[in-house]
Amino acid sequence: MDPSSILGEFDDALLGRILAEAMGRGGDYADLFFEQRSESSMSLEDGVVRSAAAGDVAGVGVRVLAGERTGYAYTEQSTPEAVRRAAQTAAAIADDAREVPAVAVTPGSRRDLYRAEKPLVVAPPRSKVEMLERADRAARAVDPRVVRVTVSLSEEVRRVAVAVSAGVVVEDVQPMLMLRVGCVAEDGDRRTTGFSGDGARRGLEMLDGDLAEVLGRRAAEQAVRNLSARPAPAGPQTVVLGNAYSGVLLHEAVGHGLEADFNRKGFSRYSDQVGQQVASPLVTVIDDGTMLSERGSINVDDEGRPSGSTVLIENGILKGYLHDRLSARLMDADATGNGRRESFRCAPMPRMTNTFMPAGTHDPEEIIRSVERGVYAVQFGGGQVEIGKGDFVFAATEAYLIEDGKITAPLRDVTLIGNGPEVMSRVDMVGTDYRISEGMWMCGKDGQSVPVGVGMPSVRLSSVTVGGTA
Amino acid sequence: MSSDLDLAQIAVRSAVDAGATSADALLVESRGTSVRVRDGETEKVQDSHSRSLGVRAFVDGRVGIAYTNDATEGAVRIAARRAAALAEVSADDPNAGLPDPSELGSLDAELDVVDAGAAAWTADAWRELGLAAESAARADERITQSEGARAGGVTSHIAIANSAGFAGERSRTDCYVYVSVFATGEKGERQRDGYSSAAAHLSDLESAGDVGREAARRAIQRCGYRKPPTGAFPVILSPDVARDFAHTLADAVSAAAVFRRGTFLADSLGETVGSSALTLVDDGTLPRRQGSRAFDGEGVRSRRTVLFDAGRLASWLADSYSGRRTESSTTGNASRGTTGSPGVGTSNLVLAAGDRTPEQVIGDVPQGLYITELFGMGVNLAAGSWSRGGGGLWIEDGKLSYPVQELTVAGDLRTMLKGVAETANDLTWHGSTAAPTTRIDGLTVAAG
Repeated sequence: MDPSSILGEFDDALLGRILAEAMGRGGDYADLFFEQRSESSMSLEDGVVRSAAAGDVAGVGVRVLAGERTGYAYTEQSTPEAVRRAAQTAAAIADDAREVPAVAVTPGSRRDLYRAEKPLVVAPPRSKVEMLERADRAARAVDPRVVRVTVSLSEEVRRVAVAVSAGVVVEDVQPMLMLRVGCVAEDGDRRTTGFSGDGARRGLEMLDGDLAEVLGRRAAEQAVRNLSARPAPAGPQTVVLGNAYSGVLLHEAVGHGLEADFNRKGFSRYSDQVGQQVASPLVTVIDDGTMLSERGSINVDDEGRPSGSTVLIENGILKGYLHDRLSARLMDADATGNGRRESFRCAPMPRMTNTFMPAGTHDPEEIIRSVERGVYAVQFGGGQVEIGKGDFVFAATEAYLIEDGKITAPLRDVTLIGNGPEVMSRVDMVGTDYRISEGMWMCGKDGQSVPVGVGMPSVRLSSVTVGGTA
Repeated sequence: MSSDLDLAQIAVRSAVDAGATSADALLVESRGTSVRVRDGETEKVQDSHSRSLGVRAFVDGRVGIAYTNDATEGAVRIAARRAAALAEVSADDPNAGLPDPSELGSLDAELDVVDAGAAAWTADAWRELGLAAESAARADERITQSEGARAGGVTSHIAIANSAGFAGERSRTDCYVYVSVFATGEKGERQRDGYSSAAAHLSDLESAGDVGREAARRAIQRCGYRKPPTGAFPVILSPDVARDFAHTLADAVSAAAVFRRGTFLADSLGETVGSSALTLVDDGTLPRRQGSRAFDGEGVRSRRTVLFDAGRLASWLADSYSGRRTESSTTGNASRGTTGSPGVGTSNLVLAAGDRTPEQVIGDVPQGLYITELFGMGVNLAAGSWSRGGGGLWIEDGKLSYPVQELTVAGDLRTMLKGVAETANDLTWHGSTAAPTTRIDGLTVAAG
C-alpha cells in the first residue's frame, strides 16, 4: 500500500464493489471522491498576531449519473460501511434495480505540476510570524497616513483520490499558499483601503524572497493613492484595462459563459455559437490548468481527468466550451479536465482553471497615448456576471483618468458595467505586456468556491459604461 | 456516539487540561435534502449530513483555534490540544476572552424555528414543490425557457459550551423554494429572472404557485428595456434592494469594522448621521424568523438592538471581542463557524416601515429610478462609497413607465443616509431580513 495514499483500506477491489453498488439502481456512471484537507492560517493586526487556527476536514462524496440526472451523497466517516451507505443514497437517483458486476479499477498515471519544496501546514507556526511582521513593517513605512494593516497567511494541503466507474483511480496532493495584506489610510475625513495578495501551489519557499515586503508596500501605496482619488466620470467612455488583474474581467464576462453546463442547457449567450465570431478578431481566450504551480492549476480535476489547455476563443471565433464528464457525455464532446468541486460535500461542475488572453501586438504605452480622454482601470476587487445575457459589473479598486494620452489623476468609485460579448467586440488594441495575475482569485459558482488564475495583456475597449458620480 | 453537547464539553475540558486558561467549543450538525428540477424532470438530488466541531482556547489573552469534522472523542481531544498549543503563537491581547458571564445565557422565549414536518420531508416531497413552482412560472406563454427550480430543507443543531459554565443547544429548520425562468420579449430578446421564498416553517413559505408566478412576472417585466438618462435622480429602492442596503448599513456599524477603521461611521456613535426616516433594528427574538436564536455564537443571550434610531447612530453591532475593542459591549451578534474566530453578524435585520403606500412614495417622483436589482460588489465601507450595477423601472411623472437595465447607481454613503427621504408601509420579509420600499435622494444614475 502506498503510504502517501489517503485511500487506506479502500483497495482497488473494494472501490470497484462500491462503484458497482452505486450503479446498482440503474445509474450509468458513478464516482467516489475522497478528500482530506489540512489547513492552517494566521493573521496579524496592529502589528501582532491576533489568532492562529488550524484544522482537518475529511470525507467521501459519492455521485451517480443516470442520463441528465445526478444523485449525490457524502459521508464524513471514511469507513467502507459509511461510504457504502452514501453510495446507496446517491444510487436512488435511478430507479431500475439491477445487478452490476464489480468495476475493475486500475490506477491512472500521475504527474506533478506543483513545485512545493518546503512543506505547508506542518511547519512550526512561529517560523511564519516573522513573515507577517515584515509585510506589516513594509506597509507602515510607506506613509504615516497608513493607520491599519492586516496581514494574513493561509496554507492548505488538499489530498484527493477519485475512483470512477470508467475503471480508474487517481490521487493528487494539492498544496496552496496565500499571503494577503489589507491597509486603511486616513487623512482628515477621507478613509481609503488598499489590498494585495499572492498565492500559488507552492511551499513556504515562496516566501523566501521579498514577497512580504512587496505585498505590504503595494497594499499601502494603493490605499494612500486612493486618498487623493477623485470621483470617476460617469457614462460611456474609452477604457484601457491594465495587464494581469484585468483577467478577472475576462473570467467573469467571457469565461463563465463558456462553461458547458450553461451551454448544454441553452442558458448562455454563447450557446450554439461554436465556429461563429463572438469577439473582436484581436481576442483569443485560453483556459489552461497545466501552468506550473499557478493558483488555478491542477494535475487532475475532481473527476480524475488530467487538466488541459483549452482554446475557447481564437481570433474572435468561438472554438469550444469547458467540460466536465457530464456535459462532455451529453454534448458528445471531449472532457477538458475542468470538472471541479469545492469539497467532498459538492458534486463537480465545469469550472475554469487559469483563464487568460495571450499577448497582442500593441505597445502598452502606445495604447495609453491613443486615448484622448478615458479611464485606465488597473486593479479590480471582483465582479459579477449574469450568464444568460453576459451582463457584468466590476468595481475597480485602482483606476486613473487618461487625458490627452497621459495617465493623470487617480479615480475612485469606478464601476464598469456592460455585456461580455458586446465589450469583447469592442477590443481594438491588445498589448504585448501579457502577465498572469498574482494568485489571489477565488471563483464562486452555485455556492461552490474554487481557486483560479487569470491573466491578461493591456487592452483598449472603444466604449464601456463607467458608473461614477462626476 | 457522544451527543453534540457532550463533545463540545469534552473539547472545552481537554483544552483546559492542555493549559488553556479558558475555552469554548461549538459543534454544528446539519442534515438536509435538496432537489433541482428542470423542464419537469429531476436534475439532481443531494443528501447532506455534516458534523463539525471548532474549539477556541485562550491562554490568558492569547487565542488559538482548531477544528475537525471527525466528531469522535479522540479527534475532538486532539483538536482541543492543538488549539491550546496554537494560542502560544498569538500575542497577549487584554480584550480577548470569553464573554462577560452576565451576558451568557439563553433567551427565555419559544422562538418556534423548528419544523419537524419539514425535517421529515423526502426528496420526492421537495421535488413536487419545485415542479409546482416551475410549472406555475411556465404557465405564461411569454416564458419560453426554464433555468430550473430548486427546493429543499436543512435542519441544523448547534451546541455551545464554555469553561465559564455555559452549555446550550439550539436547532432551526430552513426551507426554501426557488425558480428561475427566461422570458422572450416582443423583439425576441431573452430576459432571465427568478424568485425564491425561504422560511423556518413550510407553512410560512409562499406557495409554489406564487413563487413561480412572481419569477415569471419579474422576467417578463424586464423585456423591452431601455437605457435610462445619466444624471442625478431620486432613486426608489424596491424592498429587495432596500434589504441589501439595510445589510450595508449593518456592516457599516459592525464594531469589528469600527476598531479596524474599516467604516466611514467609525467616529459617529451617538451622532445623527441619517434622516429621521432611517430606523434600523437587529432583533434575534422574533418568533418563527430564520435569524432568531436563543443565544449567539458565543453563548450570549439574544436581544433586540436599535442600530439607527430616526437617523441617530444608536449602537454598534458587536460580539464580545469587538465590543471590548470599541469600549461598548456585545450585542449578542457573534456569528461563528467552526473554522475561525467569531465575527459580527446580524440576527434578523429590520429597516423600519413608514406610513404611506409605495405608490404614494413613487408618485412624488417626477423623474427617477425604481431599482429592483443590484449587481456587483461596489461598496467601500471605509471610504463610504457605494457604486453598483443594477436594473429596474424608470419613473416618469410619478408612474413606473418602462424597464431599464445596464445602468450603474453611485453615491456617497454619508449623503445616502441623509438622503433616506421616506420608507413606505410595505415591510417585506425575505429570510432573516425585512425592508420596505425606500426613497433615497442624492444618487447618480449612469447608463451606456
